[in-house]
Amino acid sequence: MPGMSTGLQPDNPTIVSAFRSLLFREALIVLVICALLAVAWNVLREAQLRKVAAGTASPELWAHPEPIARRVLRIGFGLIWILDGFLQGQASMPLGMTTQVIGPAAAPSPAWVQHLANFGATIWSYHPITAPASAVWIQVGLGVWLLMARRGKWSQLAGLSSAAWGLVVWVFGEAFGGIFAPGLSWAFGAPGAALFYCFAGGLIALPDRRWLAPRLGRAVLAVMGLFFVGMAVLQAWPGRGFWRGQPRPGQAPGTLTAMVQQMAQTPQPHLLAGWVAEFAAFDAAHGWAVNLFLVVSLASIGMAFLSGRTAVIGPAVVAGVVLCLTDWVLIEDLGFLGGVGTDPNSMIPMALLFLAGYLALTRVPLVTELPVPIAVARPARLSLWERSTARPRHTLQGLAAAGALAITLVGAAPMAVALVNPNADPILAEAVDGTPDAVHLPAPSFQLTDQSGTTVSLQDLRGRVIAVTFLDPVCISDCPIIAQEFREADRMLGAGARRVELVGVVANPVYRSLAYVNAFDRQEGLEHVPNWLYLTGSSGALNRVWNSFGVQVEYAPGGAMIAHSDVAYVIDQAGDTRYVLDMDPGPATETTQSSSAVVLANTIDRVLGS
Amino acid sequence: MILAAVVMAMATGACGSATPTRDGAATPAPVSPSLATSVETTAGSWAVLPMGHLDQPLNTFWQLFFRRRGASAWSDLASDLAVATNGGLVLATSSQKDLAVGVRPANLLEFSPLLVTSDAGHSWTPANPVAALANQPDSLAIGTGGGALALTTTANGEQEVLESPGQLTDWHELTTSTQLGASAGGRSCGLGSLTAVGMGAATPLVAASCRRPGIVGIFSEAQTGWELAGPTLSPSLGAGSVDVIGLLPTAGGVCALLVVSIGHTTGLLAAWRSGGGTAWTTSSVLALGSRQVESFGPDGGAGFFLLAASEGGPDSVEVMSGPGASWRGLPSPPVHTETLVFAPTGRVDALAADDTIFTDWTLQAASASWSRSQVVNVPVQFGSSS
Repeated sequence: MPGMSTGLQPDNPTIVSAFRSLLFREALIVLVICALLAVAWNVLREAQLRKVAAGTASPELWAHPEPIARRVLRIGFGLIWILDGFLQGQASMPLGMTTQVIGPAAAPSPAWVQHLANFGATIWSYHPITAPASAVWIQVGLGVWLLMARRGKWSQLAGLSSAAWGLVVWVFGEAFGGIFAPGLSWAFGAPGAALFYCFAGGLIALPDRRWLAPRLGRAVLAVMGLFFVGMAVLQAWPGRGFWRGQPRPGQAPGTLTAMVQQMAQTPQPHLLAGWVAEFAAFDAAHGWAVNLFLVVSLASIGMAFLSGRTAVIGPAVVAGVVLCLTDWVLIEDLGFLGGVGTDPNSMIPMALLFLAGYLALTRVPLVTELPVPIAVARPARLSLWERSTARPRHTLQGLAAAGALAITLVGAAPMAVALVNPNADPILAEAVDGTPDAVHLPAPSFQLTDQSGTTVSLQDLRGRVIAVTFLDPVCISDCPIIAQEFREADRMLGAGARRVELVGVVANPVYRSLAYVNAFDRQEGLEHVPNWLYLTGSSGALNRVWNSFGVQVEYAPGGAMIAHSDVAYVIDQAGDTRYVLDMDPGPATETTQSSSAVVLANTIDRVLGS
Repeated sequence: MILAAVVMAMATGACGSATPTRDGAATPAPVSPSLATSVETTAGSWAVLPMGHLDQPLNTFWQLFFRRRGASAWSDLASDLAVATNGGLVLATSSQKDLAVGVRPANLLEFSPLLVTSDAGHSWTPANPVAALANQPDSLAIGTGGGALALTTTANGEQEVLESPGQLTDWHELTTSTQLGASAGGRSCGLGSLTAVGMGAATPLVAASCRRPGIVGIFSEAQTGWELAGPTLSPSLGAGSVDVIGLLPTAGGVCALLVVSIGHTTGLLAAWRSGGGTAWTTSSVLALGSRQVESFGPDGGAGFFLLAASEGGPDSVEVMSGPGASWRGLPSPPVHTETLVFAPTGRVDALAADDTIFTDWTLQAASASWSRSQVVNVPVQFGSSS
C-alpha cells in the first residue's frame, strides 16, 4: 500500500512540533469563536429574560422533556467524540495513524478494502499535520455539538453529522471494522466502534415523535440482540482458535490468548497491565472455559434482547454492561492506551446503545401537550430579532450548536482543502532534509555537454531560474528518486516551468558517456521534458564542476555504488545561487518524494517571483 | 554402458508427478544456476561471487576477484566498477585479453551497465549499456572477432537478444523470445524462456528451455530465419525436457550444458561444437539426483566444472574435461564455496564467501584435500543500496 507510510518515525520532532503548533493556532481560533458566542449568548439571554419577565415569551418550547434514552445516547456519544478528539491530538498521530492503526486494521482484509483504506491513509500521510488536526476539531466539535444541541433540527443535524463522520472513520480508519477479515470477534471490537457511532448518530437524527413510543426501543434491542447472537455463533465456530488457550508455554497460543498477551505489552498503567497479564495467564490455562462463558453470555444476552420482554431484558442489560466493561478492561485494554489509540473501542458505545434501547422501551416520555412553537401563537410578522428571542432555551441551544458546528468546521475546512491537494505537504521533506538554505552567492560557472551533445554553459542559461543537482546515471537508489522529484516539481510549476531550466550533472567518474546519460533519461522518463538538461563532460571538466559546487564524488568499496552528495542549487536569472537544498530522499516513500518535489517547486517559485 | 544405466535410471524415475503441459510433456522446475563463476584471460583468473547478507537482495554485493597469472593472491576489484553490484555480475571473455563485465540492475536501476578491461583491471572502459541482463551466467558473450551478444529483458518483460558488431557498442536487436517462439524451430521446441547466448565461431547462438521433450533449444540464424541448431539427443533421452543452462566458449567453438529432466530425475550432459562445423559431440550423462547446479565455468581447457549442492549434504564438484572424457569427481569443496577456478597452470581453487569473509581454498593434489590459502575481509557497505 504505497501511500500508507511516510517512512518517518512517529516521534519525528519536526512533525510533532508542527502538529502541536497547528493545534495551538487552531485552538486560538476556537477560543475566539467561543468568546464571540459567549457575547452573543449573553445578549440573547438578557433579551429573553426581559421578555419572559414581561410575559411576552415562554421559557420552554417543548411539551415534554427529552427522552432519557435519547439523552443517554446524545450525552454519551458527545463525550466519546470529545475523548476521541483529544486522543487524535496525541503526538504520535500524524505519523503513527497510518502505520500503526489503519495499516494493521486493513492488512487482513481483502484487496478492495485495503485499497479503500489506502485511499484514506494516503490523504492522511500526504497531509500529516492538517489531517490529524482536522480530526481533532471535527471530533471535538461533533462532541460539543451533540452535548449542546439538545432538541430540534440542530440536534438531529448533530446526530446526522455524527453518523456521517462515524462512517468515514469506520470505512477509512477501521477498514470496515474488520468485518471482511478473518478472526472477527465480538471480544476484539467487531464490527468496529465507529459503526456503533453511526447507529447512535442515526438514532439521534430521528424525529422527536419516534421516541414517544416503545417501538423504537424494541427495534434497537432487536438489532443488538441479533448482533449478540451472531457474534456468539462466530465465537463458538470451531477452527477459529478461540477454544484453545495455550496448553504449554512455547506452544502457539489461541486467538483470544494471543490478543490478550499482545494487549498486555501495550504501554499502560501498572495496575491495568497486571490485570491484563493475569487474565492472559488465566485464559492460557482455561481457554476453553473462557470461550464457553463468552459464547453462552453473548447468546443469552442476545436472546433476551430479542425476546422483547422487559422482565428478561432488564437483567440482560445489566449483564451486558458488566460483560462489556469486563471485556473493555481485560481484552480491549481500554482501547486507547499505547499512544496511537484513537477511541475507547467498541464496548462503551455498544453498551450505550443497548442501554438506550432498554430505556427507549421502558421510559417513554409523557406528553402533556403537543409541542407548539411559541412563534405560531404570536403575530405572524415578527422580525428576526423577535423570532430569535422568542424561544428562550431553544435559541440559546441553537447558538451553542452553531458554535460547535464552527469548531467542527475549523477541522473540516482544512481537511476539505487537503482532500483536493494531490501533493504531499512540504513538512515531510523538511522533516528529512530541513528547510532550504537561503544564500546569495555567484553560482560557479561550468561548461559541459548536454544529452544531445550540445555544449552548455551557465552563461547560456542566464535569464532563467536554474535548479542544478548531481546524478549518477547508474545509481540504484537516490538518483532516480531525485530525478523524479525534479520531474514532479517541473509539473507543479505549470506555466512557470517555461522560465526554469532543470539541470542534472553526471556524478560518476566512469559512466559519463552520452549513452549512459540518455539511458538514465529514458529510464526516468526525462527524455521528453523540454527544460531538462543532463550534463556530462570529460573527467577533468566534471571534477571541476563537482569541486566548485562542493559535491563529493567517491568510489565506495565492496561493490557499493559511487558515493556522492545529494544536493540541489537554485540559481536565479542573474546567475546567483539563492537556495541550497539537501536532496537526501530519506525513507524515499511516495509521500516524502511528493513532499520533496513540493519543496523544490516552492523554492524555484520563490526565486521566479523574487 | 554408464550412459545406458543413467538413462535407464532416469527413465524409471519418470513417475509422472511433474506438471503436465497441454501437449502432455512434463514441465520440471526451471534450472537456475547462480551467476557465481570464473573465467580466464591472458592476464589471469577472474571470479564473481556474492557476499554479504545473501537473504537480503540489497545487502548482497557481488564481488569481482582477480588473480594475476602466476600470482597466488586475489584482489577485489568490485569498487572499480563504480556501480552497485547487488543485482549480480556477468562475465564474458573470448579467452583473450579482454574481459567484459555486465552489471545486472537492482532496485531502481533498470538497465545494465557494461565495462571492459584489457589491462588486468587497471582501467575500465564503459561500453554502451543494454536493457536488463538476464539472470543467467551466460547472458553475455563475446566472440573472437569482437562481436558480442547480450540476453536481456525489456521493460515489458519480453526477452530480447541484442547484438553488437564490436567493442560492445551500437547494440541492436537480433531476436526476441516472441520471434523465436514463432519461428519453425521455436514452435517445434515449444519454447519456454531464453537461457543463454554464445558465439559459435562467428555465428550467434541462442539457448532456451524447451517444453517439448527431447528437443535441445539451441538456435542459430539461417537464410530462412531462426532454426534449431542443437544436438540431437539419443532416443533414450527423448522423453526428457531439456534446459540449456550455459553456452561456454571453448578454444575451438562452444560447449553447451544441457540439463535433461524426466519426471523428478535430472541429469546433465555437455555438447561440443567446433568452430566452423554444425555437428555436436555429446558427453555421457551425469545423474544429478537431488543435487542442484550451483555454479559452472571453464576448466581451463575444452571442458568445464560443475559445482552442485545437495540438500542436507556436502556440495560436490564434477569436472568434464572435453569430448570423449568421463566425468571426474573432486573432493567435496569447503562449506560456503560459491564457485571454483581452474587455472591454466593446473591449480584448482574453491572460492568461499561467508558474509564479508572471502576464503580461497586450494586443492592439494597429493592429499586430495583443500587447504586455506587466502582470507579477505571485504568491506561490504551494508545499507548503501537501499
